[in-house]
Amino acid sequence: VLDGCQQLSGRAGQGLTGMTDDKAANVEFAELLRLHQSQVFGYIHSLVRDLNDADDVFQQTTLVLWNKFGAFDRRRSFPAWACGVARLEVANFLRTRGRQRLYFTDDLNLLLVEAHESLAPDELEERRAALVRCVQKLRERDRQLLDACYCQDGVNVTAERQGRSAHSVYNSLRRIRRALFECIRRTLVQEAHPELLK
Amino acid sequence: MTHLPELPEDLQNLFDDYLDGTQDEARLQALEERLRADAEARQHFVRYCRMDTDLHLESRAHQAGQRALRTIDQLAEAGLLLPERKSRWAPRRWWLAVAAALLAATGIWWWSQTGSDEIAWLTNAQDCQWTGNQAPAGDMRAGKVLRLQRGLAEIRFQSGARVVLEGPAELELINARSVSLLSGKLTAQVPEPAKGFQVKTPHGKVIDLGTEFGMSVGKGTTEVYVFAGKVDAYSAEAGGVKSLTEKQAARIDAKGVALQPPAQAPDANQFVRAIVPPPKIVPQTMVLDFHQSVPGTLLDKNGLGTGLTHRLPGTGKLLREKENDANLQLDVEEGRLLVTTTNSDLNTSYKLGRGEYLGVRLSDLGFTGKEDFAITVVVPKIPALPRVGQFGLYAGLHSKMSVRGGMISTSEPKQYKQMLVENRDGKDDRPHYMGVGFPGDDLRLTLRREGKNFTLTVENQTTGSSTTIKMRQPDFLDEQKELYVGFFGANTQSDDQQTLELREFQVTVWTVAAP
Repeated sequence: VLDGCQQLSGRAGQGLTGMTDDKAANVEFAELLRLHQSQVFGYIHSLVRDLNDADDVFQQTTLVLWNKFGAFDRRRSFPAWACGVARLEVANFLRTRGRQRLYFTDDLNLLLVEAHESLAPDELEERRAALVRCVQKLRERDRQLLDACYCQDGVNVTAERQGRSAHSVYNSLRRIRRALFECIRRTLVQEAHPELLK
Repeated sequence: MTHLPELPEDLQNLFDDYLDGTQDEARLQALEERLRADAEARQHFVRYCRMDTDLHLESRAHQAGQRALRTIDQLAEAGLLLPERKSRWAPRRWWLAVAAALLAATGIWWWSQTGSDEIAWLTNAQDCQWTGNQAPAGDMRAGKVLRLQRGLAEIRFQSGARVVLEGPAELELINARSVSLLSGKLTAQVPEPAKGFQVKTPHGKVIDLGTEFGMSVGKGTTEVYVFAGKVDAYSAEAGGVKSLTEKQAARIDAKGVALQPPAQAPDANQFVRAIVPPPKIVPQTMVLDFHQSVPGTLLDKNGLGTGLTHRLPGTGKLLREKENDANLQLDVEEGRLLVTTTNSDLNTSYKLGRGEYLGVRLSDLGFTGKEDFAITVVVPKIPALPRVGQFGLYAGLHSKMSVRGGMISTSEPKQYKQMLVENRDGKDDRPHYMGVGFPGDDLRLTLRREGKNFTLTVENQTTGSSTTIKMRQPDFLDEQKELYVGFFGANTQSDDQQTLELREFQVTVWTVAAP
């Protein structure tokens, strides 16, 4: 299911021609954003829970970050600062959207900034790599279901197509997520501390 | 790297409900409480959400990848990009990194490079209600009409101009340098690069010459006010143009453009020039550890200042006649205040002249009537007051208008009930009871006002249990500024005086800071 998604790995846009010295801050910003955007995006997505909405908020957030970068205190953690800005953008977004779903309180969103900050780029990348391998270990039927729900049709259409109830599809998805999450955990522990899993 | 234990099943269920959007309010609240209380649960949560994000992104990469690759190729051809030599970490959103790098290097908003035709974006919004709930979201293109029913919306244009729209208002986006205000009010701030920014109205138009101005469209007329800089105002029907400078106002209508004499000019204050961020809440806390005598406060029997400053008005009148209160003893060594109960009762205003109801005045902590507040005290090894005896915390205007909560001795010998009650016109009303306590228990009491509710929390440090009673704030306390809070103790229906030990008395008012 994920094979096709991998073709982008190893190519990232970076490096610019025609830079002048006074553009150093610009380059610094681009570099910090490149390094941490995945954390920031993950934070936003975990709060708004819709990929398209997360895109919008992320885009807005990067603009605000860029505008405010001059005032960024270099002693602070960039991801914490960026997630803090994202938190306000999420709040604005939810307000203008007229909350149809249920969302966390701002207090908790603030606490979650710290948790997302601690999920460092290295670990993110290792988790993602482990996820790809874990998906490959799934049974064919489970892989297809994951593909249908995430990549193609969503849960309701998938359920209809397979003649199942949405509830039962959700249950299967949960079982798969649990297996994947545990597989990622074991993969990471094994890489770091193989003795723990003997 | 963090290595977490296996994810507990109950947590996973809460997470799944959250991600699938299948939870109800109660489940969301349960999740919120777990996450607030438990740092490890938060660590699990962000990783679980991350997996979900990755699954979504992997699927998205399928479609977006091709599109983005084409963009990159074009940029590379134009000499804007060099291929990266080595990348250990391949960002999922790498085309946004490209965009950000572009933005950083050239100062051009990236979507103008990537083919989006948005000319403006919403940068701030406060209490906004949009007609048909159609909040602008990534669709602020030429021709878009923003219909704001109420609230303030700040819009930033690609040109750099910034507009604050105040609902009700309708604004049509024409291009990055021009809008049409169909109705309502706006203010515009136009930095140098955006000079020439135009606001059209049904009656004419205003062209900015580097400035800040406000406009309001009513029936048949448009009013303009210049805060700073200069604008040209045109009348659509009568032709003609007038230049306005700082603090000048004009009216545009079918007859032309008329400068307004200062007396008739629209009030500059009618325009909202910036969205003020939501208020910041700052707790003002007073803590008494009873480890020192505080001069100028209520005196104990030895003439030591207890730190408490006010009695609930209507109580303690006879105690106040003598300077020192024989019922109080400050023990600075141990850090405690001993309070001996007296025979009094707020209910029916019985013998309140000798009643011990002492604490502080909230306005001394910045209270102005609206703020939330809380009073906390620790009472170790509570004595046995015979029926009816009571002690606890109060908040009130005076002895005939108050709320109090604490422990009250019951018909069961040597047992207390927890109570929360309002006292209206000197009579107890709407009593709430819950839970029990026993002589010898160590208690921590908190009386708290949050919004329109009062809660009493009794943490029993002996049994490890905690209970909270909640009730609506009685209307007589709404918006009242002169509130007194504190501690009370009374052997209400017996002559058996008992001594209570108070520790760690604390009052907090959550004040609203000026932004």
